Amino acid sequence: MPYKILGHTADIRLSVEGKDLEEVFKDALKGMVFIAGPREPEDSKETARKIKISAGDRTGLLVDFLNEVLFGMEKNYEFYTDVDFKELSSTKLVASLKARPAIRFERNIKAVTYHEAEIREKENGFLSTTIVFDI
Amino acid sequence: MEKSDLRKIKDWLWEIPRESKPDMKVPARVFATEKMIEEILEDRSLDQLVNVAGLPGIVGHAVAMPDIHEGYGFPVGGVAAFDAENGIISPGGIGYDINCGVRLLCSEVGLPEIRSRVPELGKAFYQEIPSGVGRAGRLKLSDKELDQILLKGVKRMVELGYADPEDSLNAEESGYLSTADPKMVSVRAKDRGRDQLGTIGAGNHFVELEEIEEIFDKEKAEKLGLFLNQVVVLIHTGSRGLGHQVATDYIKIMMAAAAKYDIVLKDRELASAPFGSEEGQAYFRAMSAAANFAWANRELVSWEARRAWKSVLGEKTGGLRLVYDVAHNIAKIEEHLVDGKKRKLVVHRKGATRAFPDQPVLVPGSMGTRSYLLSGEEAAMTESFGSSCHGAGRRMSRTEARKTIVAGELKQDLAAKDVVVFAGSIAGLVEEAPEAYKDVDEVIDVIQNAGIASKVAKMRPVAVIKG
Repeated sequence: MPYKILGHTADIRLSVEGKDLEEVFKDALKGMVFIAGPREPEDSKETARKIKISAGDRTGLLVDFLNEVLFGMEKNYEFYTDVDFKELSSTKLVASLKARPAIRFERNIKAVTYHEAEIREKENGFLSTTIVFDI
Repeated sequence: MEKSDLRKIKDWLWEIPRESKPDMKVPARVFATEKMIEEILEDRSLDQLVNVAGLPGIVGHAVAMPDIHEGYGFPVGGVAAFDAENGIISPGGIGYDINCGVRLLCSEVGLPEIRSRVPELGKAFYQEIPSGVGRAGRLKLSDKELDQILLKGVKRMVELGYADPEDSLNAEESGYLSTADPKMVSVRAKDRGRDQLGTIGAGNHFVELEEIEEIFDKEKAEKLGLFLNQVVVLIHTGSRGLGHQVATDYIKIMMAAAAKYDIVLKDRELASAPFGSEEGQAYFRAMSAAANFAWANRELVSWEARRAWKSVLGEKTGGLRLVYDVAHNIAKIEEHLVDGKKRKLVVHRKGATRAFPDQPVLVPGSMGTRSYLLSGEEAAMTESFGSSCHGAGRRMSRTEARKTIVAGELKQDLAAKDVVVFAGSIAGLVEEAPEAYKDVDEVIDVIQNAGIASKVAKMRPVAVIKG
């Protein structure tokens, strides 16, 4: 199920859901990039950015993954259209991000916060969480 | 949280008693009118304030300013003081944008003298000062150069020739914290900030040309070199990606530290460690370095503003002098009286401004509404650990703003108010529309009624530069 942008007085709250961890992570990536609003230059090419992250639990791993994405967007002036996971568990991921260059972003995401973040299993077996971005 | 959980003390002060919620170590106090309380109760900011009141070593009260709104972990518009020996320090109590703050520069001319040049000035400011996301600053700093800025803040900018020597006299803490240690700042944080010095970013950050519209305290205004109709420049920005990354890094470290020190967290963003612990000290030194970066950032933005001013008006109209610079996301070691005894405290201000007696306090409104220069008063020392509000405070979410505010109408409204706008992102502009904010006049009235700070001057924007 696609991500949803929810209201927050000052910042932006993202709701993500998926049948498994991979879908949740992919959905969160797409929602975050939508929030950032990248503008792509003409004639740009896709590149790959490899990442490897460890965390104490799956929620921490998701927040760290999105913070890695944020760092890449800010440092390398690029955004990510998708992610291929080579390995994804509750505490570790190895992946390749599909990167495209950005000339600017509509929003300045300062940080991905842990506030309200908790990946939970729903009655239908799907996993979901909320992520609040500091804008 | 229900209204019945609050006890009215005065028309502008409310209390959530310590006994009313489990785990509260001190009462929580909110400076607000009854009307404001009803608005504040619409989000979770008071629940967050109650959580803060339960953190180890908190003293006095957990304090909320009238511009309070929901944050992450700690509310925005909050002040919390912890005992330096037995209390904690928490990155969430300072915020991701460490030393986000405001500075006011004053010119030597009145608006009538340069009114026709305002659009040209606004354009020059927009071209000279990098704004938005993805625009790098004019400096690309090496590790060594960056470390000097992290160590010395404004002092380093004076050494480099980007600041007037007098600027350090007119900034909170003289524009640098001596507790900074660049070694406590990660490579990743340095990489994020390396090319961002002298940039304002996006969101609610701005540079505005303003006119002093009203003077409330002639003596204090004159002392600060301010006069009616004077053109002034207001700059709002912080530590950019460097500070954001310091906060991100240390929240993670503190989550592990909290477990190590048996600190129970109701929210991961309340992650904290004893101030005296290795983790607490490492964060405090990194936060100080990020604060210095922010002061240097506002200084380089000022240098750019001064350059733009001269490029349009030449030398005849004089330059731009720094009136004052305040931080509104920071932790400081300060001495305050608690129950009649002087105590060394770690005062966390997140969306709150230091307001020591006679200190200038800068409170920006939203674009299209007024901003205020206040002067700290004695009561701030007894009521709010020497702190005041930091802005109007948001009341509408960004998504709601995008849904309900039409960009064209907003631009027309601002033009009708004689405000020229230069913005990189129309969507970003809409999110920051005046309608998205509370009434700054009401916020200021509460602060003045409470005796925390008094009005000195009111300013209205004439040109707005945003990312």
